[in-house]
Amino acid sequence: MPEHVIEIVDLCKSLGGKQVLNRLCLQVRRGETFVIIGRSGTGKSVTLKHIIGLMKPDSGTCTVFGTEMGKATRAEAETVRRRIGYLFQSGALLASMNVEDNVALPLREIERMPEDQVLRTVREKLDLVDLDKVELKMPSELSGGMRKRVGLARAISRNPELVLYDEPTSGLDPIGTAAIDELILSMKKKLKVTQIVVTHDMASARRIADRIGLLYDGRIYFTGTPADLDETTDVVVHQFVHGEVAGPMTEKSGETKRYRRQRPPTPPPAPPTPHPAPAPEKQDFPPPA
Amino acid sequence: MIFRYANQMVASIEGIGHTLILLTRTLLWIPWLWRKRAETVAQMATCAFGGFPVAMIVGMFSGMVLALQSGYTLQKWGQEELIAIVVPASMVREMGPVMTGFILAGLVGSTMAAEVGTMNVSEEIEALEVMSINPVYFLALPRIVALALVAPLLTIYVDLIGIFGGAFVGDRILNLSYTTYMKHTLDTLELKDIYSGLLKALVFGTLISSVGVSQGMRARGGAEGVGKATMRTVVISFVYILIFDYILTWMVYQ
Repeated sequence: MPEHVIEIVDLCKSLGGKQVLNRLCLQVRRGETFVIIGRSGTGKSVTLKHIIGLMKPDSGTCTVFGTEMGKATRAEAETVRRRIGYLFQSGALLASMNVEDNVALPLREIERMPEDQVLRTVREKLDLVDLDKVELKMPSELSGGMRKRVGLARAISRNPELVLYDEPTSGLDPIGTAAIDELILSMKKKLKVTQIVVTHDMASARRIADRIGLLYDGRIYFTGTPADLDETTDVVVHQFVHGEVAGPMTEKSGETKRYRRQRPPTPPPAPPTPHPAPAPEKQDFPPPA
Repeated sequence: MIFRYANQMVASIEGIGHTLILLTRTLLWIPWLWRKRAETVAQMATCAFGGFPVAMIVGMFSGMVLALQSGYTLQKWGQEELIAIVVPASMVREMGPVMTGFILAGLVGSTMAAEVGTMNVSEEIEALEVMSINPVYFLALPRIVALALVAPLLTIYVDLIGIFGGAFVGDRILNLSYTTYMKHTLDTLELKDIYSGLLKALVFGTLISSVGVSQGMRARGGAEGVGKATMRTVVISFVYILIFDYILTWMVYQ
């Protein structure tokens, strides 16, 4: 039986009076790429923040590398975080530092590495994310895709065993999205890391996932391989995968009704117009004798 | 209406609590300050160079107005020489540290709130936590120490400029020579006046930076949240400066 890096059991979390996660259960195996899909605001990022220990559960447990993050002391949580890389949606690069300093930050501040080793590691990680000659650039000088690559280089700078990606392809064009997908695949191949990717981009999810979990109604509603996702007859999964406006997901949140109300009323069918009497066939040639 | 005031009251108490906790945690990180020496010096330079030009104008005109107001009143009894006692004492004990505090709150405190607030809303602070870098050590420590050290230096500068402003008014308008003014000044000022002023400046600098960083760390909701944090920093700092000015004066001179 494969070893589980992450085990979440009955995780509940309310934010601003809204039940975001409701008895969520999830297990992620070592070495797999698990993609969490779901509509915006369903708690995908909240789940990641519980895994990294930035949020504490209201109830339930979230165990990462054998440490229960909800009950861990700051020191214990930091020990676990050193084994995790996290790519933020925006990249979350420190705007006051150049690319090199951003990637080197955990190496200098936490690992206290000698400077020559820091620079060598930074170069190596930037190579891994296919970036060249950007060390001295400021984050404001980079495109969205490049910022995410630098964010990824920083996330993997300490050779983590687990990498979490929060919407890695949002805001990118299709080519940029494919490039980030390739990077995620290459991370698995080259670094043998376990990866959790949060996204609502179905094409991207199919490309990179070993398993996909659909987050719906505060819990993982469906888990399976990309092939399972396509074969299932479940209406909820079907609606999300095919991006249909009407369906159980939107009906429950009341969006379908709104959608229907907002649609302009269908005009009554126009009265049938009488067809003009067919003109007698014109004979250009005299009938044969 | 009552609920609104009650909510504001709770938010204010929460803010005071957050600032105090932040300040305490920052003090606990002081032994590791040597690791942040470069950032602390950089922050000191930013605070000082940002504040010097405004401090010069504020110091100069504070001293001149003090001399003019007290000079005209004292002139009625032929005691205009006393401005050489009134101006330096007022500048060193009160006007210098308080004016410096106001300048630093408006210039540096607000900048700190905006800077840290922007980092907060753009997930940079969360990114630090994810990397196991303590935001108090990384952001608050160099800023709070830098402003705590710069505030007394800037106060000395404002004091000197203010005293010179008083001497200038005495010489040009009240027929009091520079030599007489300086002699009275040196005879009157006590060591207690100087250290109480510098102590106030140290406290004000610490408070302003703590409020700025704390408000920045609590900023929510994008640019609007950062703007509110900046505004609150200035208002809260002004209130703290006046309250602590009274408390420190009472403690030193009772």
